[in-house]
Amino acid sequence: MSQTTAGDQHPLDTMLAVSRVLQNPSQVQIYARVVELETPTVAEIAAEVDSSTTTVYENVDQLVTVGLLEPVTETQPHRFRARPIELTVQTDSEYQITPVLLVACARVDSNENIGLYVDRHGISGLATAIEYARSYVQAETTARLMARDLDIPVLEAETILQELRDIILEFDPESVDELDMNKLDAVVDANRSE
Amino acid sequence: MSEALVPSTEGHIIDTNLFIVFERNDALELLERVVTERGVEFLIPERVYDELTPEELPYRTPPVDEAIDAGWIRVVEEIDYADPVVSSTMDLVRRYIAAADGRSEHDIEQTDAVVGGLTATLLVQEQVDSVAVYTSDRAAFRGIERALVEHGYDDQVQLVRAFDFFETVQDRYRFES
Repeated sequence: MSQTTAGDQHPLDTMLAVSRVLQNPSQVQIYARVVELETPTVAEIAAEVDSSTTTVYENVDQLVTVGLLEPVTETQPHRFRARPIELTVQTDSEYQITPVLLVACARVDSNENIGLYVDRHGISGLATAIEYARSYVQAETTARLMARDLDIPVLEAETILQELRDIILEFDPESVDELDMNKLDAVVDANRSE
Repeated sequence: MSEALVPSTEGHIIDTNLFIVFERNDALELLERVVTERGVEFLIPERVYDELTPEELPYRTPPVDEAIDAGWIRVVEEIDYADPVVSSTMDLVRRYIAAADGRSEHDIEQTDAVVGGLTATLLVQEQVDSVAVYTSDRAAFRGIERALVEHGYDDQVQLVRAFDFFETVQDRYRFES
């Protein structure tokens, strides 16, 4: 196996690596599986994806080289874990790439609702939907608001929000804050008295 | 002691999100079974029916028409917008939806509050004396509940959280064939 990239990775290298993986269905699937399985062996990964074990070895090697996976054992059988991705893309607005996006991309073929959403709106559309889904999981926003903002049918918004909610709850549950109803009551009461 | 799966309210209103969580998990037959075994009829506002049956989506439409034909879902077309309790309920729902998402109330439309409008209509017209509202929209429900309490309808509405309900139904029926 190749050496891992040691130390801090240059942001540009991270961007290039993540960009390549996002556009490579086999690699994004492997990355997502490692996130799901936590510290799998290559054999365990291969059992869950559509590629041969040899291809999985090659892809895992590649993902280690670009710094998205790292080995956790020195002895056989080698186990791997996903390195946390902390990549924020900024132009005139900002977007933070997280494993949720990669897991969602990995499910484009296996999840009909996600696949159709990406067909219609692209990966950036999916990324936008994830932002709404994070609010949705916290009961802050609704499919109706998203639908109106994006000019899409409510059914489409509700469906993708629920699919992404499942992924967020499974892979990023610590990010979810319960809606503070007392605070909400206070905001509404303050507005009402104006 | 097993808790009742479905509240013993007279009325049961479901939001779009409730139907979708069952539909995308291929569990609509299970939902139908749960309600028909208990003699429950789900009510939906016309707006929810429209949301579930858009014209322009390229893929499958949730089988809400089948559910209506089978008699376990009924569309209620009349929302009494002119009634002050109904309109103030919808107003408070809009305020809650706005506050939850940090938006101005002006961004929130009447149609966003339609489940609240139907809830209030049923109670005001005395079609039922208690209503369970099945939704994942906790902010909207808080608006419904507070508005109705302010107008004297204490303890007559109950929230059924859509995702929790789905999980509970699945768990309850998991070991049955």
